[in-house]
Amino acid sequence: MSEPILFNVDEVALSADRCIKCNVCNTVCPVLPVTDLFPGPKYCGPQAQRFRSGHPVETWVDYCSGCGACSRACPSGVRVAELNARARARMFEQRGIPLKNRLLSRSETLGRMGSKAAPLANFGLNFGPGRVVVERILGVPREAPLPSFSQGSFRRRFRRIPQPERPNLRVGYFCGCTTNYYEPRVGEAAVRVLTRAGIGVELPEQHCCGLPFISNGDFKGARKLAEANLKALLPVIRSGKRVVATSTSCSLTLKHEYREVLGLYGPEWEELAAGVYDAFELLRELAWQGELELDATLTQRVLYHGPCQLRSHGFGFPAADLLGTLGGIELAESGVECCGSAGTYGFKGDKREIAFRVGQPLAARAREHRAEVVACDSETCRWHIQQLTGLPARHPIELLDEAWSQAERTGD
Amino acid sequence: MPPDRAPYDVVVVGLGLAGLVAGLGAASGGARTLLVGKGHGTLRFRSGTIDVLGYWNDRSLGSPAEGLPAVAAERPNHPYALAGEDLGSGLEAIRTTAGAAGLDLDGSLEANRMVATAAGTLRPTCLAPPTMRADWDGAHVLVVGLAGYRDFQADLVASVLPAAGAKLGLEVEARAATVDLPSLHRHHLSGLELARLFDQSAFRRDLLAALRGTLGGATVVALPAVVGLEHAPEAAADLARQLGVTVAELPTLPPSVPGLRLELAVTAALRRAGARLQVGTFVRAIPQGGRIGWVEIQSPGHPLRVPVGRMVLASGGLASGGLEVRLDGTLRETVAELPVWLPEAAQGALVGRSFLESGGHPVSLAGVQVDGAMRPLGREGSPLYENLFAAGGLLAGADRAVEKSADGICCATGWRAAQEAVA
Repeated sequence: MSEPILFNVDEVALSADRCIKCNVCNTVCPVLPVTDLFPGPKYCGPQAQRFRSGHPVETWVDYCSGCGACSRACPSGVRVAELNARARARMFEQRGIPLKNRLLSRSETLGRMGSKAAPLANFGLNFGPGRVVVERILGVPREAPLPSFSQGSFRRRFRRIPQPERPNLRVGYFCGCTTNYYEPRVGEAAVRVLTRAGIGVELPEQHCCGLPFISNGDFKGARKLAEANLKALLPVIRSGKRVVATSTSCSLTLKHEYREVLGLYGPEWEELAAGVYDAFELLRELAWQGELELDATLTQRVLYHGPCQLRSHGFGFPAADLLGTLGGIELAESGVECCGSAGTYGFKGDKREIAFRVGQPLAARAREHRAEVVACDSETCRWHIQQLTGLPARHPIELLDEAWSQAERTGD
Repeated sequence: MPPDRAPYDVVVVGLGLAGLVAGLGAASGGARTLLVGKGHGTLRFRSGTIDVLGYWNDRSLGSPAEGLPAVAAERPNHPYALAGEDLGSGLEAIRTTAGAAGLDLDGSLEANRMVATAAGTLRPTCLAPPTMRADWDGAHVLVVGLAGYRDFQADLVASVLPAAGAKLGLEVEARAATVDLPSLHRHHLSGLELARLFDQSAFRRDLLAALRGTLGGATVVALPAVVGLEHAPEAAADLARQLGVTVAELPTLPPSVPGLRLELAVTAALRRAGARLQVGTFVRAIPQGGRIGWVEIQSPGHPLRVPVGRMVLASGGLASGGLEVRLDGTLRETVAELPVWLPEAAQGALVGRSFLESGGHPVSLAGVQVDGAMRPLGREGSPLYENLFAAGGLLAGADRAVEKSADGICCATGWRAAQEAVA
């Protein structure tokens, strides 16, 4: 047989030509049914892609929330959401990135500043006139759910958590900006759970994954962070440790967006992608190997919502798989593609209303299940879901931590 | 080291009708079931009817039952020759599941009924929603188009339908009307947006008001198949009651609303039965000895290895990516690298001269050969893996487009594969 012919082309850009116009993407897009401002993934993705070479890019691409439902649904392998993310960046390249996008991308800088002055910053954010200022400058509507800065970062609290004496496995924890500056409790729960499973946890040097930059159209800023993370995390992976994350959007960025959206191809980027795991993905693997028994009870009615970015990992719902084995739990899956928030999308001006409408089926599902708590692996989704449902929204690892702590207290 | 405890009893690869029927068969039998597919299956662009057998040897069949013995006798590797006995059970599984969600599928193996298409032609099918089973003979049809919806041209349907009926000895009169309403003035109007409008009683009220003057002596009002998504049965019943005529839905171009209704009903039932569904990743089956050891789900970064108890392969045929044509004209099966059978006529001439070749294309018969237990066969004719079963469009021996047999094959072989996998 003759040698295969190799074409030197970008697989993501070329994927547009695989579109057979079956419209499956339009049947799953959560934005399309709630607004006329977005023409749907088929037009916005593969069809518009044909006109994008050298021409100005249309502005409606900015209404794509980037949830990725279209890319997952496509039976022909068209990377619709990835094409849209690239087109959005080109649009901003041509038109300039709005100030609010620039500011909203800088979750790491905002977090660092905010947590240093937490009481003052939180007062400003919870206080009506403060939110008006935020609305004017960041473009975040005053009703949008903003988190509170934590006093003292997770990094400082991490050192106080005891490590197992003889760990079966060592990992580097990628906590993400949110855990570090807003919700250290998620990181503390994660480290308690991992160490209890016999895993030694270290906290390597790390930077914002860059996703907020990507979704706000600043690829240059995102690439700088990607390079910094590569430099910091490759040594961890090369020393035989996995990088484990609890924020499924951060980990997806490290594994997928760097390559397919930012176009950072090459063996070292593949090595990074191969070494990054979700915490529950790792725990489920141990359970499948018979090396982990959950053996605890959580008497709660829980609605589990696998966030859109977790769905793009293509590893199913490892958190739900494990939580489902807890005694006493009444666990139901949301069965909904996206809560509407999709990262910072639901926080930006006119998209707030769209995000709210997208979230209605999820809210209905929570009522139907008579849920007491919604479990969700992504931070911005949790803040949005709390507002949508009026229920507490927690990271599933907090629930597992709670179940295990209870078991320990009662001496199970 | 592959994980040594299988978290699922049955892994189904493929989310089309065959995969869903296999999933229903496995999950309803108590098996822990995972369904995984590269994207959504073809139900979302099929018409929501269940075609079983419309034609055999160029002859139109009054009923599938009448043709099935001939299929078994004349083509021993046809899926109906191998799994025809499970056709009834497979159809019943889909009918019951759809019915539980309020979506009736009427009909039986004893009769084919004619459903009208958006091109105005009539084609045979076995099971169909009540809204597609109008009695065309003697009907006075008002074909209603919706302004701005380009995928359904009422004038075309009304001009073709009488001739299509006459060919079958049916007397059909038809005229067209196109309704324009302010709520239709949207930037983008596909079947989905329309279906969501039909779900709202306010829209139906406006439509009824617009139709009353044009009804004349019509006995059937034919609409594109967009009459409701979540509240489809209620929407159709409401329109029929208010108009006092039969409401007929004509399947349109994708996105197919009736296909989507059916898929959502079946996947919801699967989730209720405890099955896990995963959309969006390509899968490879990895052999280990004489069996499939695990499936490798191609997630970004690193593959996820799921140990396999039993596996049902329902990844579809050429159009679905389950089979692929190589540059040299040979075929490959994409998930488990199974040998692909190609009829002699197809060797060197995969396709005929025109797109809609009336006798079909030789390559359509290509596919994976299986035994009566749906186990894929090797070149020398014996089963390759003890725990692998195949179903649906992937299977050799049928020209589904010509026979109008695609859905029935999915039901029969999907059900048989599941029974074997949980046995």
